[in-house]
Amino acid sequence: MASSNDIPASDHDIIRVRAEIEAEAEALRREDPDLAGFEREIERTWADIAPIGATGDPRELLLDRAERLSVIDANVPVGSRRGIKQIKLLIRKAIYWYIRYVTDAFNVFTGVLVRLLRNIDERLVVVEDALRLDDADLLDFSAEVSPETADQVARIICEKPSPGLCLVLSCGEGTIVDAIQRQGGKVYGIEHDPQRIMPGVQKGLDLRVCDAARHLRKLADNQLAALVFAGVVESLPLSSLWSMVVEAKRVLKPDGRVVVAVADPGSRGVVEADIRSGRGIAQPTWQHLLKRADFSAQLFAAPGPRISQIVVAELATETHVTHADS
Amino acid sequence: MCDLSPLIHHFTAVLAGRDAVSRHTLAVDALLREMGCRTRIFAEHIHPDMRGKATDFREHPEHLGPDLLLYQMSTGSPVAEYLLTRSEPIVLNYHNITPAHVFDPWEPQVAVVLTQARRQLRELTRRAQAAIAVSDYNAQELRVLGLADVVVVPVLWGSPEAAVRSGSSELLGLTVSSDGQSPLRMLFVGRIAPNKRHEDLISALALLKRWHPLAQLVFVGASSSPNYESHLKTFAHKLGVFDSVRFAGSVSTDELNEHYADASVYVSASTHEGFCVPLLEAMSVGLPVVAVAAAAVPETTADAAVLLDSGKPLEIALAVNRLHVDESLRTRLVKRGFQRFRLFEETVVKQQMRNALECLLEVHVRQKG
Repeated sequence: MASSNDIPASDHDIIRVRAEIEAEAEALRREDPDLAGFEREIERTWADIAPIGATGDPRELLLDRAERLSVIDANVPVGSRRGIKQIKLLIRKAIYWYIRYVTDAFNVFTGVLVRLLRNIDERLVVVEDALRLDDADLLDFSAEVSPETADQVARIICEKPSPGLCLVLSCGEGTIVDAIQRQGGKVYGIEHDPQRIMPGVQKGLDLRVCDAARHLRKLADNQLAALVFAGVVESLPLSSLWSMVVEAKRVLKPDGRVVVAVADPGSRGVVEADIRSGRGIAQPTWQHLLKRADFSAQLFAAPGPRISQIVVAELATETHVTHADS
Repeated sequence: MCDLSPLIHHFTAVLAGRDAVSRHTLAVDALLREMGCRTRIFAEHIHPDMRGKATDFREHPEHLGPDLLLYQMSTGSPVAEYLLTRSEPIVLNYHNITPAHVFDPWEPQVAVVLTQARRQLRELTRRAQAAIAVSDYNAQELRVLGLADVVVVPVLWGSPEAAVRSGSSELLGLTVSSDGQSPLRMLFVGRIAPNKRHEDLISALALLKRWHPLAQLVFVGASSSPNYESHLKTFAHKLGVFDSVRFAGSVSTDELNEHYADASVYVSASTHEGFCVPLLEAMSVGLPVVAVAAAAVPETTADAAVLLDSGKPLEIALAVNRLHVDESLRTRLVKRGFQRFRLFEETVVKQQMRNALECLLEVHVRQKG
């Protein structure tokens, strides 16, 4: 069983350096538009010259490329000599004008198509922006879980003799990660905000900046012994949330365990209820979702203050938790 | 020593000499002979320099009936199809296979061979008695395919002379500083193949030039895809960094050591590696390493490299810059790199390989004898 003391200091060192580099890159992208633009231009240049399928084209790059490819350059060289070649030139010109007419018509058509796609793209961006969690910046209070609740979650995770690898989704500053590590668990956390993880990273915790859903998709089958849904994952759209529950089932070992430690929707004040995305999901609803994904899920009382209950779920068999009480 | 002097026929797709799999094949063969076994190497492609060391597998004497067939598997080959027809015990030495999809847009014919290789691997894991994987990453793949008897022994890559020349044992107490005068030179050693993501390194160079206008990038390694290589050159031209990128191609050992000696940092954006010997070569000569944490790379470097989660060029450029300006970090990495390299020194790995082979011979040859 690993504990924070078992992890060599050099590992902490490398994790800290990596997190600092990622945070520096994010900060540079925000603060230096020229650099961000150049980075994008580099990406676009490679996408332009590489064969189709060689780059994981982001949607916008693909549209740019389609727009450029859709224009046919009809200006073919017309080198000619005098005399009889004038007729040849005339024929060529006629063909040229005809081709020009066809290509113009084609270009107009493809131009309309690409503009249409761009309009759809812009509307998608608006929808995506509306779904992002940036509204958390407007809130004056932290969504961090209390140390007491974190300890309770850690006890549940670490009560097995060999807990194995645990992942905390939306880990914030790493309160739960820290608690699990202190109790001997091998754990890392994922958070979308690079600034938020810095206090935890400086303490030597393995916290990474990544999109939670994308990270889950990258994991191999049966890779995790435990998975904790924490922080603000409940603010995701229901479809994304359901995908994550399904992915959780895939990445967990057969005896793996899911713990949901998220704030009660009812604990939100007026300001938070207005600003934060979504209505939040109550613990019985989490229990319902997990059961729909073939987990056996139970509710346990939590010490609060914002989390009155936590949900503990296991695959197929009944949940046997001995340390869930606070 | 092998009491009964077992006869082992050792197969590989290519025996070329300079690549890691060929060097490993020759080293394992020499070790088997040291252990008292009689061995012969058979290959599909034999480099002219290697003639006399191997026989074309099509000339394999079918009637001879060796005690064991050992196959160095790293790509698709008719050798695998031939082995599947044999009745003798088979042991795989697995180096991993590049995913076919990365070659699809560049060299479709290579992608076909790699797809074929995956199929051959599936069939061989059903047929083979045991396997030696060069990393846990590779071992995991074999176990998923159903082969239970898998032991992990790293690549027998040979400690380079350069490590001895640089007096690397002294690095343990050394502060490793850059002179601040010579240009920052990044080095990558490996085949020019799409899974190695050379374009990310060229992109990183273009970004790095904002802070280090004289920065350079050197690629050492033969090309597995002329199409990919030509696009990389066009890409470097378009970014205006072509004069700072050098494609050195396949080089001799001495030239390789010179490249390591001239470099400031070793960089790798590769997304697929079964082990990655160049990382160890870099560590052995006191070169700090920045790498993308993909496939078996984290297993090989452990804490002795700056490992990045993504191969984003800006992150690579910032990591290289950080190593250039942060003397303390560079010193720590170089020290850890040397400690890491010691775990993979020839004598250490050779002993592990000897133990593994002894065990295999005991189970699959002597008990049956």
